[in-house]
Amino acid sequence: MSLSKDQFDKLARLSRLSVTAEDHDRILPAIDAMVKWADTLRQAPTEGLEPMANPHDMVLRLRQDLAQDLPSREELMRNAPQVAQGFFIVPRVVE
Amino acid sequence: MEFRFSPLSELRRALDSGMVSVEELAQDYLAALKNESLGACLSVIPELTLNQARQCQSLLEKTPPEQRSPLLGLPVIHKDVLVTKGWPTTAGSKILENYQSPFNAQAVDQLQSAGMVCLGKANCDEFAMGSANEHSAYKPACNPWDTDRIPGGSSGGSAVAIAAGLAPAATGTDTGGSIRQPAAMCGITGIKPTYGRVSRWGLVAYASSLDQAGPMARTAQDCAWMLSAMAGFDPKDSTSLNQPSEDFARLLGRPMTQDASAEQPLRGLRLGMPSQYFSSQTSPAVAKAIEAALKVLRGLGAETLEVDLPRTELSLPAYYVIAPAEASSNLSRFDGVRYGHRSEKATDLDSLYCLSRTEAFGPEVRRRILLGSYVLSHGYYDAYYLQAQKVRRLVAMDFDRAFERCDFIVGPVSPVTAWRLGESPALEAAKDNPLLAEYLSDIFTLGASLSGLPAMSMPCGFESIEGGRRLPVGLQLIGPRFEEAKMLALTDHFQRATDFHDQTPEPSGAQP
Repeated sequence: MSLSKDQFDKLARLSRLSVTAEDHDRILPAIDAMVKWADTLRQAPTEGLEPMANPHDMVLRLRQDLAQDLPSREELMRNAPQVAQGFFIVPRVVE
Repeated sequence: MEFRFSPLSELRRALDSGMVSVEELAQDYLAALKNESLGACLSVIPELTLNQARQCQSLLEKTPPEQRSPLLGLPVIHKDVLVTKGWPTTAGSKILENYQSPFNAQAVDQLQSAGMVCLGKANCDEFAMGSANEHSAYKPACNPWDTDRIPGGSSGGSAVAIAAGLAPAATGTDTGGSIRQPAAMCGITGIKPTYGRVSRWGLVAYASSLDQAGPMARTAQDCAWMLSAMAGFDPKDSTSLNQPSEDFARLLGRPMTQDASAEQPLRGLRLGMPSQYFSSQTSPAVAKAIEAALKVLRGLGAETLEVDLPRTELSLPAYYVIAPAEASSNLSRFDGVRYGHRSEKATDLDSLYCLSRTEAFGPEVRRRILLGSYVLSHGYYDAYYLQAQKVRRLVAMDFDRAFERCDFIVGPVSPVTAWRLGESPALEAAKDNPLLAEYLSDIFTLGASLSGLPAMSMPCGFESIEGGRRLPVGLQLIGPRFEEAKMLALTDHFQRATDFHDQTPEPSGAQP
């Protein structure tokens, strides 16, 4: 199956990326080639096997619900492109 | 500058004998980094380095030599994927340009506590996605053995820094081979520990079920010292193994089995050669160097036998489904709101996300995010993502079966030596699919990554090329989980019997 331009544009929307005509020419064929490559995975005899999400089949630990020392809010927000009064500023969402 | 190409163990002696001070040592490397033109380094802040150096010097003077941490006062450069307080962390991406972490990565902290002095940050592929360091958003790095060639990736800057004498040691991260492959191509030693050994806290995430940090240095002994400081349980990393760190240097220089002797320290050790790693996929020059290295190992007493890793080829598409899927999820955090690049053209929240990400992610990163979104999307999740995870289990089962017959697996790290900048690896398999050529060169490193196994690269020979130049070849050693100490001991025995790790590139490449 080949990836269509429409499907590619939908993927871009899902990924929150904008695509250009150049991407249609360069990135789309690469992804198409990788998807075709991924099709070869179906040949593998995987019936009855559990998917392996972690190489040691670890189950995630829960941590204690305890207060911890963290850097201050100012320090944590220092990298934000736009802040005011301890908030992140974004374009208006509600009119 | 007499120390620039010395291993950490020699620098230790120089510091302990007072031949050089911590500050002088740091200054030598800082001067080399300042003038480097190999693209190894992304940031150097001499005041911060010298400040750390002075603190270590004063600690060194207060501590009797036998009580000193072996790393006290020794310099290290960190891959720019590990966050550092003071030095910016970009992960090789424009989206994190000028990003200042409020904390250190756990591995950085632990090396600092052991007394290592941070020299700065090493170049790498953007978000560690690449096998040639050409996907760094800032600059490519070049191989000191031939500056027209790639150093490997993604920890390319780390490998270049060591090979060119710009740093004696480095950290790297390895998701699909990113420590081992640049180590091989630059002629240095590097180990990817068992998944979960070293905390992922403070690693800019690429594919969380695969990412693992590890040391890169000139020798197995140096790597053992560093790994001892880097490893250990960390409650801040949800997949950290509840396993205390070890003295990974404890087995160095010792016979490895009961039958072993001083002349034959590996006697009785069984090394498995996967037939898939010794096939026509490997270039003749690499195959020749590996064969010669195996002869040395046999001379040290090891037995070699053929083993089978039938899913070697399938590990490629499995990895290139799983890693992009995890990346597409991990990289969704870059939204132009909380940190990182923000587009000035945005008119609403959605365009803020789209434009910020599109403007600042490079093409390889966008490609992997899009592929990851595809294999996770409705209707394709089972066929691709879940199927890839099932194949991952098959790959891991292959290794379990192989380790019933052998103690370690040996083979090439990469089927080829360093290729030319701007070109692709010359692989038979890539002829039908040039778009995938760079990915195909990862064929021998992905299995250990998918299976979470420790794996390392040691210099084992050279390919002679035009102009009298030589390109390093790396021998890969893959072990059962938690067997790093034995792997480092085996590598150390090999390094006592050979001098590939001691060789340095011609000055034209090494001294910019």
